[in-house]
Amino acid sequence: MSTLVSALREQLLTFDVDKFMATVKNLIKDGFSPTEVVNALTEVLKEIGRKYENGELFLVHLVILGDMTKKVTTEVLEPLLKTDSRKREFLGRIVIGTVAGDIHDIGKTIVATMLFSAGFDVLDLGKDVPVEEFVRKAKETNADIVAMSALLTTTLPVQREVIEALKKSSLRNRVKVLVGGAPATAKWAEEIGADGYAEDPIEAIKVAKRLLGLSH
Amino acid sequence: MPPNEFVAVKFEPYGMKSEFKRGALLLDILRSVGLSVRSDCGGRGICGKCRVIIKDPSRVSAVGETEKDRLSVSGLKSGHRLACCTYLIHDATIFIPEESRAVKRKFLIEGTEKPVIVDPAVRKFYVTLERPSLSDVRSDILRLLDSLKHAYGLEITGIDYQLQKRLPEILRKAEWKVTVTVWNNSEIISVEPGDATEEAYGIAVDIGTSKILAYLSNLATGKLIDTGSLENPQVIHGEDVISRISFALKGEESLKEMQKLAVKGVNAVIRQVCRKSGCTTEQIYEIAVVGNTAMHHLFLGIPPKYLGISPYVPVVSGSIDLKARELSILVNPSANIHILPVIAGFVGADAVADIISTQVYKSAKLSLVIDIGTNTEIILGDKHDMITCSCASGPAFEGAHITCGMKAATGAIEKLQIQPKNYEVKYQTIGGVKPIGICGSGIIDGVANLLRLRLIDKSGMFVNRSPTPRLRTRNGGKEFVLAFRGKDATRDIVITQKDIEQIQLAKAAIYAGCYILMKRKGVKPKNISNVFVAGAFGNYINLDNARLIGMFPDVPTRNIRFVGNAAGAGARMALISKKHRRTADLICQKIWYVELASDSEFQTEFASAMFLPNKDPKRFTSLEVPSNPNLRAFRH
Repeated sequence: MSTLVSALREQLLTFDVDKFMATVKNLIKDGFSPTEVVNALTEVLKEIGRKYENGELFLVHLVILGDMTKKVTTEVLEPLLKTDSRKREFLGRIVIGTVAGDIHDIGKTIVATMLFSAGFDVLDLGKDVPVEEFVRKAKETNADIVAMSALLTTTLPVQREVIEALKKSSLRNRVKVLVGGAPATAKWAEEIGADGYAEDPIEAIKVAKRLLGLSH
Repeated sequence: MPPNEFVAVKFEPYGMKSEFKRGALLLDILRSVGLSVRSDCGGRGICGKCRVIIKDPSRVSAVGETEKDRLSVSGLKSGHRLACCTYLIHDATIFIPEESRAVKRKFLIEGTEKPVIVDPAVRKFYVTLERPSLSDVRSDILRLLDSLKHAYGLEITGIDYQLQKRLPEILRKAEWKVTVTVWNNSEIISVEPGDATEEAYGIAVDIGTSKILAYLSNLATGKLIDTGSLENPQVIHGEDVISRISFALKGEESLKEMQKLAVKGVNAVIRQVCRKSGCTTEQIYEIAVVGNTAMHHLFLGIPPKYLGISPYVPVVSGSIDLKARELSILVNPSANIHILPVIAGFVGADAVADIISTQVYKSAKLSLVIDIGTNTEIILGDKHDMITCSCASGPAFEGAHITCGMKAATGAIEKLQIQPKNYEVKYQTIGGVKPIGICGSGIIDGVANLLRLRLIDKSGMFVNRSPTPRLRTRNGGKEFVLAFRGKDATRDIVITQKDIEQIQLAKAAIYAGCYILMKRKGVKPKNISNVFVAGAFGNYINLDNARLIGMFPDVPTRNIRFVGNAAGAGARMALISKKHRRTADLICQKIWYVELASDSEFQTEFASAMFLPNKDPKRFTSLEVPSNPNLRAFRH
């Protein structure tokens, strides 16, 4: 496992997506299962999270690493995971999306990827997600967390609408709500009755774990 | 004297000579040699525009009653004559003063490629009305319209209603000699006593999210008289467009408040510029307005709600003409306000004005226009087709969210260089005073210098081992000191790791936007002949440094031009030229808007462009990039 971790770490930190993709493909060819690769990736991202918190890595790196990880997971790992006999054990299920009226999803996509890599089962609903869609998917998938992003002050209030809709359909006591996005704040989260707020993907992982009563 | 005899005429200042039949009308001979003079009334001795100077009065016919009426005594003494009333008798020298020449006046506006032909919507005409009598009881208005038709062949269809109420007294006080202001050859908007034909002013207004700019121009000559600038008073309800929209959405009263603030700002800047130049607000007959779509809607009091929600559509996009009084703009109450059209929710009339002033729409060569602001509008195209997008670059280049950042004002470091041998910093501040902060152009220089000297790596991170005390750690983060508190400055002026990150985010958005447009159009940097960089950079931006950090596609610096406020220049062109208003409407019909957020490649491009200059070195082959692509900080 440790060779896998160091191989991934080394490739990831070259910030070269093509090399990273090739490395992951080779690892799989060499006999590592996609689940093992994802678990190793989780370890690497934990390290990256620590580096970020220590000020050794910055937002720049998270953006690029998020994009690289997204490519590798969607294009290589996820299709393989579906057929992997060794089922991956998830920390919990998260339904995530950018709220209705908002089509900005770079940040949300990175958060989704990081959450997935951190061990969550993530269903990314995309952007401009209707209020009812959050509710329906949360119900359908029996989600533990509904995570929402809003990048505009004009669409931020929709986060409250989603919470209200969750209440109406009696789902609110069964799911935790995590909010984020440039205009969102911890105070805002409290005001609309969300369970948590995260400023960046690293914090999102932490908060998601905390909401589900998991240790780091 | 024999009528068929020919006489010689010399035309000055052209030095041209020709022979004409004795007794020919000066207006005719001038036309026959192609030296057309102005003749608004068609040679009827009414308008007085065909003034020429003939030093020796004995060379031509005697001064008639019409000329005595239209020309001043001193003018007549110094040889002024009307070409439409004067006949040639002997050999003569005719001097054609500049103001009489009918060659279309052109005017060069800074930042524009070519002079603009002056053709404003507002024109002034001097007329003498026949006095009413028992045998001529036409109404005042009919009398006025008849005299305009007779003198200038104008078919006026309307007269401003508010003006009608004041008209009878104006006409009588002026003893029936008045100057009429006509809008768009169709409506009379002002009548004033005497000959005031040279006093026609207009103002181009650029309503920006942070600043409102005004350009006072003479509508007859196109000349810029003065400029004014003011912070947008709406700023108390938020710095950026989206927070302004959010505020306006709080209710009908909030929307009204936002409109009131915009109007207040525009009025204040108009007063400011009129005071500076000594012209009265009453003499302002025309206003041309540009602004981003949110400012446009708020100025008009149109709900901006759907600008803030996907798919971000404006309520109105075409150009609008309305009376100044309808918006409580304090100029001549009958003045017209022309509001230029907008392209999309985030590409407004300011971008249309950019296209007009850079003349991208008529160039055979491919151009890229980048108007940098909190939202950066990008246009790529030529005379065949154009595409545009908007990217959220944030206010970093305007100095906001930067530790020591400030706008391009006195005391801002606008230019700097870090010496390779000892890391000492040479800088220049606006106004040449002690630095109090750093503005956008200074930050670009700073980041580029740090990169060049390898004090930061490609990812923007400061190196671990500091070769100079200027690179230090404070409050857990690294920073580079440009000026130390004490003899250099009143506080330490620094660039922090966070500041660099802000610049990276901003420039990545701009580059990624440019890249997506290039991809959509299927072109490479080498296909782009011109890059026009506009925006809030004050007077200066070091294009080499901007290129080095990867702000623009890899186009040689010699093909990149900083054009300052291109939107203001475009607004001025629309103010003095009807043709450019039509052009603006056509541009909006033609241009194609690209939504960056819905392009699947945008995220990767953005991430890649956060590096300095880019994660992909193939994007910047012509740049001399420091050759340490690896990130030292990550060596394990």
